[in-house]
Amino acid sequence: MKTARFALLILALALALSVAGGIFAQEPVILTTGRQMGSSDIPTVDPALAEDVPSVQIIAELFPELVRINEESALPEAGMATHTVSDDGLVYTFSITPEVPWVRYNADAGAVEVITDESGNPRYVTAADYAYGMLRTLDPNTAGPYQYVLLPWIAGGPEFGSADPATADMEALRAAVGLNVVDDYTLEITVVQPSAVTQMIFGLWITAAQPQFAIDEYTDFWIDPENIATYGPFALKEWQRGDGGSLTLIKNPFFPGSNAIPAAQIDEVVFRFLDEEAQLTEFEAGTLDIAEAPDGATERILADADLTAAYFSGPGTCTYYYGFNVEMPPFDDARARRAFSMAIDREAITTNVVTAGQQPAPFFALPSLAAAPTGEAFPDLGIHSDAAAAQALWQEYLTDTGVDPASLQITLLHNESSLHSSIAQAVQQMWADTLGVTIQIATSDFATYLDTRGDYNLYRAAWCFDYPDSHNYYYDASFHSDLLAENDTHWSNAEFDALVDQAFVAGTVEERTALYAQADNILVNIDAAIAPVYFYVTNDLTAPGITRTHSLITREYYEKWSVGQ
Amino acid sequence: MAVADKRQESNPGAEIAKIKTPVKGTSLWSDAWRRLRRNKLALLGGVIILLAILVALFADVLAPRPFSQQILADHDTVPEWVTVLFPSMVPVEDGGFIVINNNYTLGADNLGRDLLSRIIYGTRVSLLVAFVGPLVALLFGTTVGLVSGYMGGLIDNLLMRFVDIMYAFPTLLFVILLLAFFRSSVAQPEPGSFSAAIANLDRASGGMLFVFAGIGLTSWMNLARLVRGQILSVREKEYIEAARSVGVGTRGIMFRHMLPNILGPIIVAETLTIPTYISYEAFLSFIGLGVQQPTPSWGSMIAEGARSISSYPNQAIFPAVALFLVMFAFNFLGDGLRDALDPRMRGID
Repeated sequence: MKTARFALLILALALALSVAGGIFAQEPVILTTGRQMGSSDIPTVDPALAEDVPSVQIIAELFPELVRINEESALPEAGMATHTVSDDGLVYTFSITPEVPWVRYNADAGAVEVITDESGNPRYVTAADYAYGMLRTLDPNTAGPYQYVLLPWIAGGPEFGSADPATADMEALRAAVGLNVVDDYTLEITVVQPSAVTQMIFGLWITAAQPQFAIDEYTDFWIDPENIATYGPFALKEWQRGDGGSLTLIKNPFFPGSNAIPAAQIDEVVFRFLDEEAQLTEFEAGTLDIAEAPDGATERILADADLTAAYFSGPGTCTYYYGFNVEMPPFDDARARRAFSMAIDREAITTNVVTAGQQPAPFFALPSLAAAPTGEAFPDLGIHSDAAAAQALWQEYLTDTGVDPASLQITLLHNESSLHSSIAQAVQQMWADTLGVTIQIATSDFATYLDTRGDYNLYRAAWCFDYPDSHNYYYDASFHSDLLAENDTHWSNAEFDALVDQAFVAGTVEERTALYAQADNILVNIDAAIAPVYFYVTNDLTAPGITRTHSLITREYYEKWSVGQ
Repeated sequence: MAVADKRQESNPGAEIAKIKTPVKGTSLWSDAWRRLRRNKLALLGGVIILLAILVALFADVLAPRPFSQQILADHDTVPEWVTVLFPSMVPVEDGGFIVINNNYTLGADNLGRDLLSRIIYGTRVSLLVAFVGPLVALLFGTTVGLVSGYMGGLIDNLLMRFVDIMYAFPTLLFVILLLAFFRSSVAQPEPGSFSAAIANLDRASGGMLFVFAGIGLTSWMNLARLVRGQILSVREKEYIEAARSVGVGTRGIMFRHMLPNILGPIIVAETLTIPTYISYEAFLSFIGLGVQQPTPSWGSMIAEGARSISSYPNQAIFPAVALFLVMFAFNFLGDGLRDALDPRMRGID
C-alpha cells in the first residue's frame, strides 16, 4: 500500500514536471525547405567528393569557406578568414578566425557538442585543417570529381594532383604543394599565376577545412551524422537516406559568427528530397516553407493571389545548351552546326515550352557573371535564331559535300527528364520543319548519359557555374583545350584558347568582357561547337513570415534567414 | 387444331425420326462460351478490347491530327468542357490561367499537340504489347513446358533449372537491363552491320522493338512452369495411354492429345498476364526507357502530364483513364475466362 502511494506521488510529480517543461521550454524554430534538393538522396556531404548542387548547399552550411561568396552580390568577401595578397599577386596570406571548434550532434544528449582531443581540450579549426582539406581534394587517391577545378590554381597542385600514386614519390609532391601552415591560424597559399579570379577559388567547397581526425578514424563513413565533425553555422543532426528522405541541420551554438557568416537564427533546417510538383503540393498544404516553383505551374501560380505573394523569380545559375560532336558527320562541318543552331527558335521555346521567364541565350555565359558578354552590349556577336539563314547555310553544306540528307542518322541524347524530352521534341520539330532532317532522340539515366554523351551526334547539357566568374564558363566547362579530355564535343580552337587565357590575366572588367565576347562568338557562332538555348531562372515560393535573402548563386545561406517576429 | 394433333399422334414414324437425331453434345468450349456470355463484366471487357483494337487499326482515320504535329502557340490549351470537368482549371476570362481552345477535344499538351490524337495512337503501342507478350510466351513457354513435362529426366532438369535462373531476376529490373543493353549496343553501329539493321528496325518501330524484345524475353518463364505442371498431371491419364497403345507418335501425343486438354489454363493465365505487360510498357515509357519520342505511349504521356499535374490535370488523367480502361478490360475478361473454362464450374449457373 505504502509503495503504491509512493509510486503515485512520483507519477504525479513527473506529470507536473513534464507539463511545466512543455510550457517553459521554447518551441524550436524549424524551417522546412525543398529548394534545389531534387527528389533523390544527396550524394555526399564530403567537401572533397561533392559536385552537385544539393551536396554543395549542405556543405556550405557545415564547412564554410575561407572566402565567402556573397549570395546577393555574387562577389567574394571575407569568410572564415581575412586575407592579403603579395604585390606580385602570387602569395595569399589568410588570417583564420581563431577558436572555432569542431562540433558534432549528439543524438543521446539531443544537443550539439564540441569535439575534444585525447587530453580533453576542444579541437579548433586551424590552418592545418584547411591545408589538409585542400591536399585531400587534390590527392589523386581521393579521386574527387572537382579535383580538376582546384588543380591548376595552387603551385605544385598540377604535379601532385596528376601524379600516378603507384610510381610517383607522393610525399615529396605533397610537400611541394604551395600550402604553408605558418601557425595555427595563418595559412600562406602560393598560386600558379596572378589573376582577379583567384580569390573566388577559395570560396569553393573544395577548399574548406576537413577533419583529419574523423576521416582517419571512420574512413568512408566519416560523413554519417554520428561520426562527422563540422564547424559551420549549422551541424548535421539527421540524414534519412534514400529517395523521398530528408536531411536535418541544427544550429551550432558554438559558431562565433561574422558579417559574412552570422550565427544561425533558425534552430533547425529540414531539407526534404522532393521533386518540384510534390514541393508545390506540400507548399500549398502548408508542410513546406520553401518550395521550388515548377516550370509548368507558373501560369497557375501567377493567377493565384496567395501563391503570387509567395513567388519570387530571379536569375538562374545555368545555361541550357546542345553540344555538337564535331568528330561525327554532319557536325564535323561548322556550317552544319551553325545551321542547326540557327534553326532553333529560342524565342518560341522560352515562351511556349519553358514558361517560367527564362531568357533566350545568344551567348554561352550567363549575363549575371563577372565579365560576361551580354546580348545588349554585343548585339552583333553570338548566335541568333534565323530560319532563312539556317536553310541557306544547310543547303550550301549539302551542295558542297554532296551529303544526302535522307541518309543522315542524327541522334540526340538527353538525360531522362520530361522537361528535356519536351524541349528535345520541340527542337526535333524545328529541325524537321526548317532543315528537313528528322533526328532521333535517345534518353538514358544520368550516370550513363554522362559516360556516353560524347558518343552521340549531339547531346543536351547545362553548365551551372561554381564561382560567379566567366572564367568558370569558358575554362572549367572544358571548352578550353587544356581540358579537351573532358570535352564531349571534342572541339578545340587555338584562337578561343588564346582569348580565354588573355582574359584570365587582363586587368579591367571591360577588357575581360570584350575578350570573352570574342571567345564566346567563336564558341557559339563562328565554330558553333554548342548551341546555347536559354538561361535558367530560379523560381521559388516562400511561406509568409520568413525573412530571407534570394541567392544569385546555387546555394542559399540559411544562417542569414529568420522566421517570425 | 385437334385434327392436327391427332395426325401427329397417329404418325409413329415421326417419333422414331426424332429419337434418331443425335443429341447435340455440349463441348467444353461451347459450355465456356455460354457461361462467359452470362458474365456481364467479362463481356464489357471484351467489348472494350474490341473497341480498342478497332481504334488501334483505324488510328489514322480516327485521329483528328498527326500525333507529332506541334503548334507551340497552342500549348496547354483546353476546350471549355474540360474546365467544367476540372474546376481547378479556371479560364483566363474568369481570372484564372487556362486558355480556352475548342479545336482540341481533350486539350493540347505542353508542345501544342492534340491529346486525343496521341491517346488514339498510344492504343497501338499498348495493344501491340498486349499481343506480343502472350505470343512469345505461347511460342516459347508452351514448347519448353511441353518438352520439359513430357520428356522428364535430364532434359526436364536442365530446362527447369534454366527457368529457375531466369526467374531469379526481378522481372522489371531484368527488362530495364535488357533495354539498356540493347540500346547501348546499337547506339552508334557500323553502317551495314547486323546491329545497324536492328537499330534501324527499332527506329522504324519507334523504339517498340526493344520493348517487345525485353518483355518477350521475360514473359515465357511463367507459362513454361504452368504448362509443365499441367503436362505432368495429364501424362498418366488413360486417354494418353490409349493413344500410345494405338501407336500415336510422341509429337502426336504432345500436340494432338495433351495440348488441347491443357489449353484452358494457358488461355486464362495469359489473358490475366496481359495487363502486366501493358503496365510494364507504360512504366518503361514513364521512366523514359520505353518507346522513343515522339511516338506516343500512354506511359510517356502520363509522365509528361505529371510534370504539370497541379495546373493541367487533363494532360495526365486522360491517358491514365485510357490505360485504366484497357487494363481493367483485360482483367475482367481474364477473370470471366477463368470462371468459364474451369471444369468444376460445369453446370453451375
